[in-house]
Amino acid sequence: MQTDKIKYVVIGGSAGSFQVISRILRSLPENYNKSVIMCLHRLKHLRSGFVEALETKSQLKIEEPFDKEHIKPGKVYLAPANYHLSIELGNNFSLSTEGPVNHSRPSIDITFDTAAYVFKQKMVGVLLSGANKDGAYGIKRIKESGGTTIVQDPAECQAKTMTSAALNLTKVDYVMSADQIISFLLKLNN
Amino acid sequence: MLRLTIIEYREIVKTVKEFYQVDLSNYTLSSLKRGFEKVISSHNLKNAGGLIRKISADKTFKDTLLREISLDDIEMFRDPSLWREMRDSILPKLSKNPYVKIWIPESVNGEEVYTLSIVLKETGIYDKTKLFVSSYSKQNIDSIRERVYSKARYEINNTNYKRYSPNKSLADYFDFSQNQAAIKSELLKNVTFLHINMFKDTFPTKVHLVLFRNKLIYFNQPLQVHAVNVLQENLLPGGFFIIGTMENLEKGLYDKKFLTINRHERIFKKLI
Repeated sequence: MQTDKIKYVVIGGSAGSFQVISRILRSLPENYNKSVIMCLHRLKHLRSGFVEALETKSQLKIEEPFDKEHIKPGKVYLAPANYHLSIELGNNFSLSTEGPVNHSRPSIDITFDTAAYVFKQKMVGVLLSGANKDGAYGIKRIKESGGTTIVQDPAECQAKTMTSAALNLTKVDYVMSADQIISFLLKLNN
Repeated sequence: MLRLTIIEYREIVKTVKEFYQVDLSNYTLSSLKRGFEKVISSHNLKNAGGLIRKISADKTFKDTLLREISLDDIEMFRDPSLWREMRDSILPKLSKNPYVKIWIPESVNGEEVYTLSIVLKETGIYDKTKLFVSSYSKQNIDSIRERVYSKARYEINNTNYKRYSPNKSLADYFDFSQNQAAIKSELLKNVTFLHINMFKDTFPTKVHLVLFRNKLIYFNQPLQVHAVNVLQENLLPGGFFIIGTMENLEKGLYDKKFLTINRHERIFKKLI
């Protein structure tokens, strides 16, 4: 596993992932030099509030990217409400209003799949707690494209469906607790 | 699940240009790629070669392809706060004109058309409005004219409507049958449908408002600039231009052409 190549941390989560995400964000130092891209299931009609909630304890600023915004190191991005978030060749984001995938918009599968296509071995995909199977196929795509894959240990997930579905579909690189995920992400910064 | 390589993707784009004279080379890659992959799967074409052979051999497939590569799928009254702003501020301003002309270009589904028609009714200016709805696919126009939803889909629309107008119901604008809900035909009375390509064909008139929400996201920046230029030219001086909430007009490039009226809802006004 060549983790020294990793420049992009792409995280997917749904029901039961908010606390873990908050802990991860709280742990990342101000000088964190990877791009962190989060696709989290959220209420489609609330355009504001979620970033603020995540930011309360984070040392890093969190942004919802605009369409075609360039992805920069040291930034934390969150997929905006009611749009899918894709990664384009040339390291830009794009947004789309395609129909929900796995009943979700944003869909983790779409973000993971397009990230895998563009970032290849330069990314780690992290799938957290969730109550549907969105993200399972995306984890498979990341693995196939040479990226590193981490799934939160279903035993500690508040909702296990998502992580179990991913583990059934793919032999991932790591099954980790939230604490282990945090130390893995911190080590990347060294 | 099929995933096209970048070489296959470019080969398909090239074939569409050669056989259908439609240039997709500046469309957003990830969404157009998903569109091609979906068409290959739904028409059982197996792989990129299958789609390329279909395009080369079948001229009549053009309209279907153009409809199906666009996966845009929104609900009525998406962003209720924008529609409240339309009702309370933008349309009352336009109502001072003896007549109002509005253009919804690149229409894929009817949601924005129906939503705008309802808001026009509620502000009392429907009867003096002429609404132009254009699409590059004839099938898109046919489905907008058909105006039918499943009951489940209707409920999603109604939930959005209640966020826009809490004390009223969308039911006033629909006719119901056993499994379906159809928009009342009177809501399309003042709509003129145009089967045109906005980048190639001339639009017949200048308008007071262009509604172009969540269309720029399907274009790369050069085509975004081109699209905004085309639409700007078809706006009357002082006319309104509305885009999606996460879309941007390139700073600097448009400062001379538009004034920002409402940043949060992405409402702009054409400068004279």
